Amino acid sequence: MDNFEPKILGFVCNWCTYAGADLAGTSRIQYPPNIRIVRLMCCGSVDPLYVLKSLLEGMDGVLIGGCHPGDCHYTNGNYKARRRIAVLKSILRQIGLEDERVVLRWISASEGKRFADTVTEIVEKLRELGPNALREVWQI
Amino acid sequence: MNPAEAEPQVQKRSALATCIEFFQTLLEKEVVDAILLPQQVPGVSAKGVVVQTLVTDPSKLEGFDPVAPVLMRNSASMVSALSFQAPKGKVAAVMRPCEINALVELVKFKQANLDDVILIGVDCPGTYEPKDYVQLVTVHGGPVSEEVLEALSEGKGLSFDGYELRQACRICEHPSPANCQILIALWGADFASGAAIVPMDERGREAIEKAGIELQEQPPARSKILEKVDRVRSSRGQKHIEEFKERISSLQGLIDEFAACKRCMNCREECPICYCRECIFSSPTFVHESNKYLKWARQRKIIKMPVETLLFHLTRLNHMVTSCVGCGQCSSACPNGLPVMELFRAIGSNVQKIFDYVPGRSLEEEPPLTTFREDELEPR
Repeated sequence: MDNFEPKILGFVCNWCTYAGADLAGTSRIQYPPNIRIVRLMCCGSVDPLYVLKSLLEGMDGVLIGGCHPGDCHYTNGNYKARRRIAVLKSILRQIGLEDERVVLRWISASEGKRFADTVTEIVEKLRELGPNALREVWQI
Repeated sequence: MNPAEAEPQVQKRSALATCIEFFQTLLEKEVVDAILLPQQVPGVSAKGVVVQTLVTDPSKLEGFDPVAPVLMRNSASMVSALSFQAPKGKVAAVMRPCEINALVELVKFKQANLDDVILIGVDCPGTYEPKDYVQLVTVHGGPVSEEVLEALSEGKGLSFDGYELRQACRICEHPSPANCQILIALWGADFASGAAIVPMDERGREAIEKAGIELQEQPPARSKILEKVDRVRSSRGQKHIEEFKERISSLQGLIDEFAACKRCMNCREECPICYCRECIFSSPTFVHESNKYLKWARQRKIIKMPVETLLFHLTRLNHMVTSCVGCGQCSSACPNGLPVMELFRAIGSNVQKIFDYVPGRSLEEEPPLTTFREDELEPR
């Protein structure tokens, strides 16, 4: 699959990761254009439903970006997100879906480079994994 | 029937009679304002079916039947309704182990408050699907409680010819209730002296003393019998769930298992843990524009209708599998006989392990998704 371009959906928090993504842009750091970003107030408000819907619709990967531990604007939303994503990944693994398609990453407002590196890293990983098989399944 | 056979029957009837007398005193001496308990419903269509009743009058307890092997609905949601907001009365609730386990979870989700509730747990031999039970009592010509009591007393499983317990009950590791104030001990009981009404904590002791009933102890044979029942069901359960895990370990396996899902959401309706007043799946989020369906159909060439059946189950798993107590009402509620209980128990066992959490075990442990620790999981 030479011309496979992975599609990634990013759920990022308003306070850290979105600002980090913004910094990557204003700093003119190059990264693959494979990610579409949805800004939320906190990664703690990411219902696993959003991630599941993305995957079932055929997204190849999903990034959830939040503040580093201790930095959450709402004190502990990121810790709660970490538990939810752990549950989600466990469920995905058990039904034979690659849980690597879901990435939770802490990226602060000052880490433009880290945001760019994260996207690059996910794109590379997804190229290895290939397209999301769910895109072709109709009985869902 | 010769007199030798007739005699133990009278004694067994007295087992339930002891309980009824106890409940009558609880009401008469105003230890509680009402009792929630299972009773037989008379009537042509009911055919001896048992439903939960809320009773305030001591004379309205004759149909009490805690051992009828049928569970029409997990009553945890009823205790939630009776106790979640003030002002409320003092209530005693007669419940099976899985109902109490579900209630414990609801308390931790702040959907029930047990301050004024006395939980009376009953030993449980398991239940049949309601339609099987109706057939059983029709063929039998009436309730089968005496046979059930005898099986419990002898420490045997239920063995009505041609009838199988609900799958959830066949693999249930909770034949005896925990977290209750009073226990009606039936496994290994000698019904010659009526049923053993045993206090399990200080509040239970107080209620029994106020009612003026003699304090009793668990039947001596009970713990051995429970060990055995637990062993049999656990190994059977592990095997059944492991086989199911294997079947859904590939996505196609899961899709095949749930091919017949029409998203009626009966499983959600009957789930005692699904407490949201407004489920997102009943919200406008899932009312799609007409065009959307065509778009999806063009993208994949063919789609299953109604859409989002797998999304529904996967989302429900994410939302509440950490608290699933395995009561199996979801599977019983499914019109197409889908293995919802198996799905939740299979996935749940691994998810619950992450947090070392056992639903229903304790009122003190916080449900995993309502709390967190700083030093756990990835990323740090």
